Amino acid sequence: MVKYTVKRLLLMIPVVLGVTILIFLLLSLVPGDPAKLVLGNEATVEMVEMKRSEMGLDKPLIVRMLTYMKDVFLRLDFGTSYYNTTPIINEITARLPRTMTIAGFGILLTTILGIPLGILAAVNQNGIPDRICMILSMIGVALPEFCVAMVLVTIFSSKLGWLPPYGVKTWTCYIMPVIAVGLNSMAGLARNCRNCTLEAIRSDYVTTARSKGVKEWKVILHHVLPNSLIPVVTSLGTSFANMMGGAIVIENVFSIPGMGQYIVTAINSRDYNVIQGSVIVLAIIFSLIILLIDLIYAYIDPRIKAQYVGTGRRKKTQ
Amino acid sequence: MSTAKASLGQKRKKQSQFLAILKRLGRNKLSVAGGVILILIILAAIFAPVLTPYSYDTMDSAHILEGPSRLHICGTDNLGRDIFCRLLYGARYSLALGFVSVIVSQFFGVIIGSVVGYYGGVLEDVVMRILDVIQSIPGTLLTITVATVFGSGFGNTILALAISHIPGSARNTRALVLSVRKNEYLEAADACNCSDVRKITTHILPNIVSYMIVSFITATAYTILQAASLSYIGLGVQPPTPEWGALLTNARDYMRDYTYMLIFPCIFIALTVLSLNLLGDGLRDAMDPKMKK
Repeated sequence: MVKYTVKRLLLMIPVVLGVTILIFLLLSLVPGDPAKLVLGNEATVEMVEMKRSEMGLDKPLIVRMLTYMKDVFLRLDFGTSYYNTTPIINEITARLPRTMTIAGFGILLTTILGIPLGILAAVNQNGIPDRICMILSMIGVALPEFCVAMVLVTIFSSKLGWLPPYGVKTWTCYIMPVIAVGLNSMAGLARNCRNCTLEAIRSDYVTTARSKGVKEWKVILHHVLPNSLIPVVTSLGTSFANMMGGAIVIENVFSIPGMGQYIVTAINSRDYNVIQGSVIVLAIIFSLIILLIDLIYAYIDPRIKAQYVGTGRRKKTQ
Repeated sequence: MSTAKASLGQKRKKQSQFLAILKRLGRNKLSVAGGVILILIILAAIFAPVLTPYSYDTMDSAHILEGPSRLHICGTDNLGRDIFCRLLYGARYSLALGFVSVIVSQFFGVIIGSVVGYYGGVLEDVVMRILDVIQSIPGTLLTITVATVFGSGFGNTILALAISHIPGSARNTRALVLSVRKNEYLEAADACNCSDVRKITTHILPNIVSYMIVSFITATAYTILQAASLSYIGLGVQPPTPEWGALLTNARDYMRDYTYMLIFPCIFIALTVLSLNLLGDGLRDAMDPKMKK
């Protein structure tokens, strides 16, 4: 396992570098001159020139990119916003926890409710839990997160007055964002889990176990679940991507000062430095999460584990 | 019409497969319902001028923020515009955003995926690593970034959605190509001295096209949701255009007291996505050879 972990960690380095290069190049494609943008329309040519050299824009693209990467990876310095002098990294460290709280609790909610619901549906195929699961998953996938969020706000804040409609003052402020962001993925996960479990239930080793007289709950617990949950774990990565994307949009519904609001404000004021830094940080975090999920995957799937443990084990499995 | 189709099926073996799938699809009530709803929405979008007497940007200061009534079935918005009418015209934009951007992204995705999957080797390694890098950015975030580069507006949004979905589509196609590459009929094609282009276009792609249709439909559903999200955060299609996401942005300030402004666009989005998903699920089951009975 250690070997596998180290290998995966090393493989992450080129990916992270690649993401940085990609985002940098992508945002340098944006038409318009940032220096002119910062100074406004009244600026003279000389002022723009000065600003350009101050921002380092007069150097060739490749030099700027290398300087940027050096700053980012050696000094954790993402530069400053075009409009003020607060380092971007300070803003990010203040805002990131809020976004990750939403995404983290979202994925928790998704897993805790989605997987049991899926299993329950598959075990009682065509029964009541199955119907509920299918209807929920149909509705859950059909609305974008921000719609769910808006509907929740209307019901629980405007009509019932139970939950605060915006802000991050108390923990109750996070309830609606987490539900809104989790509902969509929960629906998908429950469905995925149901299908995988059904496939496992139909396989020969389950029939064998049953014909040997193993109790039904034991069959499910020991024979079905270990096999059906493996693909479900992999799909958690996609779920988490949806969570992060959803959180970014949803923060604007609840006025939560997180990464999403930061990015959206930056987009509207064309503050490309901020967008660049934020996207890179989120991509790195996403890669780390994927790595974590892959490690869990390798841990629970003996086929992958066997490739990295001693040769004796491998002979046994093949 | 069905007899004409049936006789066609007898004449040409190739068509009977298609007919069998349609037949199996017809037995699935849910996906038939999905298909019917989808067709109704598309027809409503096309015949929007016939269906409503209003135009989507006529403001009527005498009827501001009126709830649903016989004159305005879905009520009017803060500028006195008929919401039902805006929803119907909005369907044109939302459906076009979904379908066109997915067609574009699938087109390029299939080309990249099939070439890479077929030839393999260094090319495959390089392309797949690049795709790895692109896909380590969460989907919505990637779309937002690309949309930032292109700017807002209808055409630019289509472009942004299409480009950010190419990697996923390419990866999908590659996996499908790999799954059929080892088959005997490709060996046979090799033996017949088939050209590579011919092998890809007449032997590989037809065998994976059913999966591609299903992923096309589900991708469209997902893209419609994403397009709405983009409009909501101020990228995407801009306000005077009655795109569904833009309608919801408008509803944000009024939803507290005028709930119908929120509910009707939600219903339209949900119905469209739901019908696409039902149709996609039904097609997947109908095309699955394991389900043949």
